[in-house]
Amino acid sequence: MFRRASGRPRPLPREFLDWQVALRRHTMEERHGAPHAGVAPLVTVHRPGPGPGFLSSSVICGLLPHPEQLARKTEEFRSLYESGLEAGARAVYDRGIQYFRDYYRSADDFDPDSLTTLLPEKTPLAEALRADPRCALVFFVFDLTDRSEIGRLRCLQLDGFAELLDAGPVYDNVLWHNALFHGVVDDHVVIRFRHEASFDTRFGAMEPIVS
Amino acid sequence: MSGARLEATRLHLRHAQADRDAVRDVTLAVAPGEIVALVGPNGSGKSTLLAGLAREIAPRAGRVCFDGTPLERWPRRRLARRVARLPQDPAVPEGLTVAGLVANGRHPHVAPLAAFSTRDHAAVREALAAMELGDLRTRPLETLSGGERRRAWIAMVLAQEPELLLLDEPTAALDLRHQWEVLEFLARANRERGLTIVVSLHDLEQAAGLAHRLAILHRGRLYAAGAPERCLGEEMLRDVFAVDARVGKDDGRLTLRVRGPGDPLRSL
Repeated sequence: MFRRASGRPRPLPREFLDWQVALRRHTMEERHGAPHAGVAPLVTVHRPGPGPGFLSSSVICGLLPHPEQLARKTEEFRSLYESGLEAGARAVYDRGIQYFRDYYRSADDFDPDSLTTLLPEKTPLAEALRADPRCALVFFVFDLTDRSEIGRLRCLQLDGFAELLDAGPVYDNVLWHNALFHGVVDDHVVIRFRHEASFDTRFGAMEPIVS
Repeated sequence: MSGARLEATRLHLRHAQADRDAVRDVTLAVAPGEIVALVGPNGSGKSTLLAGLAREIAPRAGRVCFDGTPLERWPRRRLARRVARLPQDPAVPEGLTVAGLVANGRHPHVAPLAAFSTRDHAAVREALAAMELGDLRTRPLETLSGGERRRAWIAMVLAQEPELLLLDEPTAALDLRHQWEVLEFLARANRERGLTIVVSLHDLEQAAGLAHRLAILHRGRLYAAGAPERCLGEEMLRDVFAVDARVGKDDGRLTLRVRGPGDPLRSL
């Protein structure tokens, strides 16, 4: 099922990144931050032992700022969080939504080969990825009532490998981004998914997507 | 009575043997002479926060300062002269009379092995009078009704003559009349003695009627803090208490009417 991980990430398909940016803009402008199904892939990993030999878990994934903007954005997230603490989590959340309304404008502003998520470090998914970092992210959106471009039928498989981070600039960025919506968390690990290859898997196909 | 500021900064509290924080990253400042009511659903961290503010649980991270000094640097007796805490359901020592209990409030003020001073006796008398317990002073606690017993405990912390009083659900298990009496008394003590009060309450209308500010806790985090009129809204009731409710006003006081289960903003 899994390709051999090359250890050399490749850029995500541009149309995928454009879609992800548009989804997040829509989430902030129209859904007051409630995530769209399009940002919640199934992560599939090897898990030896009884059973089918793999584990699939849903996660909410995030985009990383472009490496050149990473440190500055982290500081903005942190400052936004800390300056709102006395007013409470709801005020922080609302200010976060306001901030992110202008944040998701162009795919050029984001790291082209990474997606991230934050998990409790003891979850089966985190442990499976620690044992074998190869993984596939399956994005599936099928809603006949949504006639917009962002909601049309999509079934995409992104293959790659995961890096588990418990410190560093990427960890800090994901942590403070998450804090704006869920508060600070302990005992969590950041999963940085590095992309290697993408496929359109609609109707049983496995068509490579090449940007 | 001079007042002192109580400040919790980036406070995380965790119970022994627990694997997660019961209070997460709470920043809250209480000004001298202020009444702050902690409200929130069961398990939201109200009692834990009160215990942290009273130094009964050490911060896992962050700090609590009273009068500018971190709590852990206060000598216990000196702190007890200025801060009193009444837990939700204190154990009643068998055979103890009302006056005996109230006299315990003077403990931080009396030197070891020293006799009560005139001031100590006066403080006990005043506390008994304030809670209208003069006629019950010789009665053993176990013979009192729930409301009378609660008043006796409050009289004890009054005799302590603190500047800051921390109370955990003082109206729990009391009938309406006794609830009203306790809240009336707290309002009066604040008004007349300048007593700073941090109190956890389940009843939102009572909290709004008593407190200058509400601190609303949700899953261990401070959801919102501010004047009751600003904090007590339909959105908050949906997010925090998961109810669809209407907030109104009656005779100048905030009122709630719960209409059914609500759909909270799940991201919070």
